Amino acid sequence: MTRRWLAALLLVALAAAPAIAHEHGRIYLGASQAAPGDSLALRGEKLSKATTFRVVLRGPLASYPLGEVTTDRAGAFQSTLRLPAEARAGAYTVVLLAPDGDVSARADLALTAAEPPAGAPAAGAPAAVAAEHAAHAPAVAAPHATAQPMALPVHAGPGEWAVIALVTLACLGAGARLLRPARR
Amino acid sequence: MAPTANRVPYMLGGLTFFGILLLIVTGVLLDQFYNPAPLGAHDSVVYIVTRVPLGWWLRALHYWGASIVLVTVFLHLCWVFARRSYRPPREVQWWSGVLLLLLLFAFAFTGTVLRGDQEGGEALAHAVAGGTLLGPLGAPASPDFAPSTSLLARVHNAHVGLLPLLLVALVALHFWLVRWLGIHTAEARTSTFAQHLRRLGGTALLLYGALAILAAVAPPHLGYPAVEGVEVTKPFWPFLWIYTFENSLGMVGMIVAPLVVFGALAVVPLVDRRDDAAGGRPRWVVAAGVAFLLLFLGTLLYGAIAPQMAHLGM
Repeated sequence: MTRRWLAALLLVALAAAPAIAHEHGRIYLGASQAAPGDSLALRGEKLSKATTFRVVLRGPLASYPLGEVTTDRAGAFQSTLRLPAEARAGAYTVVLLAPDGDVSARADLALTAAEPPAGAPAAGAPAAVAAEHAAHAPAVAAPHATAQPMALPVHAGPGEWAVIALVTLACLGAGARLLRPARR
Repeated sequence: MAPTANRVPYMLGGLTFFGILLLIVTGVLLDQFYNPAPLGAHDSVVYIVTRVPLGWWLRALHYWGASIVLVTVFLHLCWVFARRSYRPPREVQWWSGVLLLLLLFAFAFTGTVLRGDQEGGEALAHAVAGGTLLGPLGAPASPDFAPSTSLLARVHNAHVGLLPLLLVALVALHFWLVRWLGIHTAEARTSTFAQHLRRLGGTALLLYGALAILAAVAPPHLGYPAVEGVEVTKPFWPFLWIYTFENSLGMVGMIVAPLVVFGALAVVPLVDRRDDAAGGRPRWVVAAGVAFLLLFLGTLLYGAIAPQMAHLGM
């Protein structure tokens, strides 16, 4: 029985292993802090030889492709990539992805400088959302983290309030009716 | 059925189920307008609140519904513990209930993340950090796990796909066991299921009505879009007890506290097997249960009033 459990645990560990395998290379950034839209010098070594890697800027909420680099016969490369202008400030990781998608190397990068205001809608967002953001975004240009709620206007017309009242009354009425003792 | 089943304490499980039904309906409607892309998620929630007809109310119903479901399931758990309804032959029923509780917490957590606001972003960053602490077992919480998509998209997938599948399976098992074993009472079965459903449905409808009013007068807030690498918020209230342990133990507390709580709940049927005829529940089990409850409520309260703290990197 114990052996079966151990085998199952081993299987789980093996299934999860790809996420941490492959990571034998090294990359070095020209700077540990940068602004969105800046150029970033990147140098790598101890990687698979003559291989093309994808470079991705990765944060918990968003990831951005930065481009591709190809190593030489020694497994090294040197390149300059441009950081996305739309990225928000915060802690990111620059990761090097092998052709099979595994992470081959990584380095931390902090995006710190000014960028579009916090709350700026993404490209392609509905125009109404953009207008909403413009009207209610904080009056500072640089992004800042805050626990404060957004002051979003809720435009509930008479029709919507009527629906809410109707649903509420229907639930309360039907509930009370069901709970009324049955007639003998 | 036994008439006792029509009393409110015995209907808490059923009320939780009706709450889940409300969450499914409101969730499906909200998901028609939600965009799980990292750069579009927050904007889509803003769109739901400000532009979708009744969108703000649907979101409020979903939020308050989730809160009520967690309260009713917690009260259900306390009642089952107080009644010692976890003893043979109902151990599996208890364990499926514990798993359902865990699942509902997972729903609450993933739902928080989907907002894409500061609180959601910090919750996701905690999940990533927790995954790192767990090593290979926590790999699915890593953005590297599936480089072809974003972690937020995978959290959305879990919230609307994986977790509901598990929920349906566990609820089916739980209900089947209730039907097979009946409720835990010595009372004669003089009431019908139709009568029970009438009482339960009536109470659930009153609850829906109360939720509709609550959602209309107190819609939940939405924070500004998340700034990564910063901690300035506290978690959704059901997680405040974990937050308290994080305050004192650091990031490890986020792993240890749920493990201890759910581990303790899981062993309850194993440590208290004594029959009523043999003297009933051992006193130390009662004392442990009360201490556990007080600790849980105390840490929840402390988490609510404690000053905000940063934990990532602790």
